[in-house]
Amino acid sequence: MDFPKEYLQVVKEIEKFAVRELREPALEWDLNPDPKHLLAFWEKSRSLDLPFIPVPERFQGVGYGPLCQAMAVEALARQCPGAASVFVHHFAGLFPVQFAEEGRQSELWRGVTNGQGGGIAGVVLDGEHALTLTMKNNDWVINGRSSLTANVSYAGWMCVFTKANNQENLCLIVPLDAPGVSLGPDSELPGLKINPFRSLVFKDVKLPPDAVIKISETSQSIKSQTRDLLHAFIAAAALGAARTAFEKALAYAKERYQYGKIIIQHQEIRRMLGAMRMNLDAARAFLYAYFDEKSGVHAAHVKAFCTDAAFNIVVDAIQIHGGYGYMHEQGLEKLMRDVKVLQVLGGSNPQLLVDSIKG
Amino acid sequence: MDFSPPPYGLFSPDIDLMVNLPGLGKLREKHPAYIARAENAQAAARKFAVNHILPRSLETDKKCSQDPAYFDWDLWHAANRQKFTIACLPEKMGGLGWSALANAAAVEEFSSACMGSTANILFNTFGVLGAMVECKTGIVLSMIKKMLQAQRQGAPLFYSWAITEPGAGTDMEDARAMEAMRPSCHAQKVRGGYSLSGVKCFITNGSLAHYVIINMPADPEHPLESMATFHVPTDAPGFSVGRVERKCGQKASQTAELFFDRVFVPDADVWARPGKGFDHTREILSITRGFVGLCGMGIARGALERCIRYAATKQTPQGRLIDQDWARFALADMIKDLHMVRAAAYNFAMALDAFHVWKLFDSLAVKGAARLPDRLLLSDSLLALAKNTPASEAGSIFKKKIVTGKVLDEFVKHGSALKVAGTDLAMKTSSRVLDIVGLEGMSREFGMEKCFRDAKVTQIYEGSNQANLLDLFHEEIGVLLQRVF
Ligand SMILES: Cc1cc2nc3c(=O)[nH]c(=O)nc-3n(C[C@H](O)[C@H](O)[C@H](O)COP(=O)(O)OP(=O)(O)OC[C@H]3O[C@@H](n4cnc5c(N)ncnc54)[C@H](O)[C@@H]3O)c2cc1C
Repeated sequence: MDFPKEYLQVVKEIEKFAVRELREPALEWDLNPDPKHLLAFWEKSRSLDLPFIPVPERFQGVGYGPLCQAMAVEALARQCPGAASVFVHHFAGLFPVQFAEEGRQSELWRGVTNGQGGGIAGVVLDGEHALTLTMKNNDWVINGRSSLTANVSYAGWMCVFTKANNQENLCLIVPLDAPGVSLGPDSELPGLKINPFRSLVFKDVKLPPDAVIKISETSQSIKSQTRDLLHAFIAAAALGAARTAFEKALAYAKERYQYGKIIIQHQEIRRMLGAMRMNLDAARAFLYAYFDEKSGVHAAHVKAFCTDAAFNIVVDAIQIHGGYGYMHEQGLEKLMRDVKVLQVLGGSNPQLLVDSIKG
Repeated sequence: MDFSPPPYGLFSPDIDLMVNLPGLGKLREKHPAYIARAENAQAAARKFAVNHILPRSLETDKKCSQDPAYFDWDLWHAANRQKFTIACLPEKMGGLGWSALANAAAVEEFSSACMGSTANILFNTFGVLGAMVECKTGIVLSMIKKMLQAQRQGAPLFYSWAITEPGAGTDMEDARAMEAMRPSCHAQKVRGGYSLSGVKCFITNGSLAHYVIINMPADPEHPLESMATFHVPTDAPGFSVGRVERKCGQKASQTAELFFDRVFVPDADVWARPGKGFDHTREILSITRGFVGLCGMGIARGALERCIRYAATKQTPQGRLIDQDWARFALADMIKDLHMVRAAAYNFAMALDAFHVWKLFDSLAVKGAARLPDRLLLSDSLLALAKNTPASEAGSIFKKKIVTGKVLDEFVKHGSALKVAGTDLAMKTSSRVLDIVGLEGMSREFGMEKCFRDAKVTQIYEGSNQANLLDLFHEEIGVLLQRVF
């Protein structure tokens, strides 16, 4: 695929930045996932305009589309999939903003660019229909407990898709400091630890009418576009992790001796590395094909294929490292845990395959 | 929500050895006591797993993530009180008299509850195994005596088996690799014994060990020809423990670096003389690899049972998770693999009883010894007698008659096959289970993510699966090639 030159430029900067700011700390954050680490990183990332990539130029953003966002996520995930996952949900949560009324848009974008009390976004797709929405005295009232959600430790607001009691689909912006919003316990997932997943609990949360971005059919289509993007970004994060795992394994195979020779001289190791590289390249081609509208590729398939491929790559990278691969300091077992979470994020892969074919 | 898990496997009080392995029925007709003993072991182990291991496994895992050197002594003492730590010793001597089959049944129960705790309670057998392999009567008897005494007093007694070096893992497990390796450890011959120097790494229980059974070459230029096995008390001057590793899983079990700085070992503690060290390793591996495969099967089972329990109560917009067609196919597919590997695992265990060192317990000589009154059996005078060279060598010679080179070849073959099958099963099942239960089911509290973290290392230790496949090839196809072509 031909990546636009300016995107490649941006990604190059992000890569350098991530090596500098994430490579070392990522392991420490895994053990001690204090939100202040990520917030400090976010602050620094603003100097690169990283959080504003999706913000239109006329609102002082970068205005680059989902392809560039996916590339950014991949670059970050090479050093820390957990930090990348915050951007995954931020970018996905920002996507619907462009469909709001001009005034509301301006307000929301400004919140992102000036970072005040709403710099980081998130998204709730409510696939399990756990939330209820009713109209009371001209206010929307939201109740219920969401499934496990990312970015709850960071986001100023969440873009929430849900159904009103008259069955209309709505897309709303819900500030997390609204009275009645609270967080469920930390689910302690095995990976992406710097981005702890919790459920959001809404108890009679009142929202003004302008919280609604879009209703009904349009909202339904925005929802599926948002879900698709989420899937593509998750795939990108998994591939970033897989690329690092592959590179580490390749380098290690060239320096580790067993049987009196470097292990890359054993055919079975080369077969494994060959399979890893093949799957990595195939998965990346598949992911970026998604951004070519003509390809007709299914986002859910991209997510399922890329995360499964990434998982196998990371597991084999550990195997090539032998006992060292299982130790925390190598960083590979962390990647395996991170990718395992990415594999089920946004719907588990077998379920997505079932749902992708209408029967 | 009314949460009543389906009574299945780990979550059922019913003993199911014969249900899972109905083929044992024929054997039971002839040897009811043999089967009954295994069923009793399964019952005792499941009870212990459910009442002691399971309730604290997540908490211990968490404590160990904060401090890798944390050890759950309460659990260990509870296991010790029930004699699980000396289960393999004959009943008459004071152990539980577990056959390999009984041991297998217990290992499956323990490892399906928590693999790390299993290692703490049962991997101590490395000590007795090492002794049995050489079978010098004096050494075996004095070790048994120590183990019994410690158990009675409730005092921990740990043995580690240390072969891996920082630069050599596979190299220490395969003759062809050992020939070409560049060892960093050296056992230098000195007057009256050897002086050991070097570093060993990734040693299970190394930080807790009272004794280490260790392999080092007497001549680093010729490692295979000079590899020797030593029995080293950890209070020997020059021995020290490095860091305890921070691992992905099996956190309850400690893995440590060991340093040897001119540690003196007297000739009497040379278990396998230079040149015989590799044979010692291979013989231990011929037993332990199969058991690691069995552990893998247990991990897979634990993951699957937790998944079934979760899926039976989890509601989705389309109904219970377990009622989804795709989930049913996936579960059935995993159970199918579990049954296949379990059959192979128990077949291996019974083969150990029939042909390997377990057979020694059946032999007249040992039975005769075990019939001696307790006090006499472990008395110092008998020990002294057993320690004199001719008597001691008699044990060795006797053992070699039973466990011949051909028997070993067979066990390396089947053990390696089971090791790879069981550990690949552990990884595949524990990972796939997470795909079924999704994000919420992956939360720490349901224990499935821990099964997954625990599983990965089983493909690495006791010889990487690649090393096992190489052995399998050589023992099965390589031998054929030599004979036929
Ligand atoms: C938790 C844990 C507990 C352990 N406990 C103990 C213990 O109690 N005692 C002990 O002595 N050791 C122990 N070990 C060490 C373990 O046995 C070794 O890690 C294992 O043997 C692999 O060795 P290595 O890590 O050095 O990998 P290496 O031998 O360096 O292998 C690296 C990679 O190369 C592959 N490879 C090597 N040669 C070939 C070839 N010819 N063809 C194809 N692939 C090849 C291997 O499969 C592996 O994937 C433990 C390890 C761990 C992680």
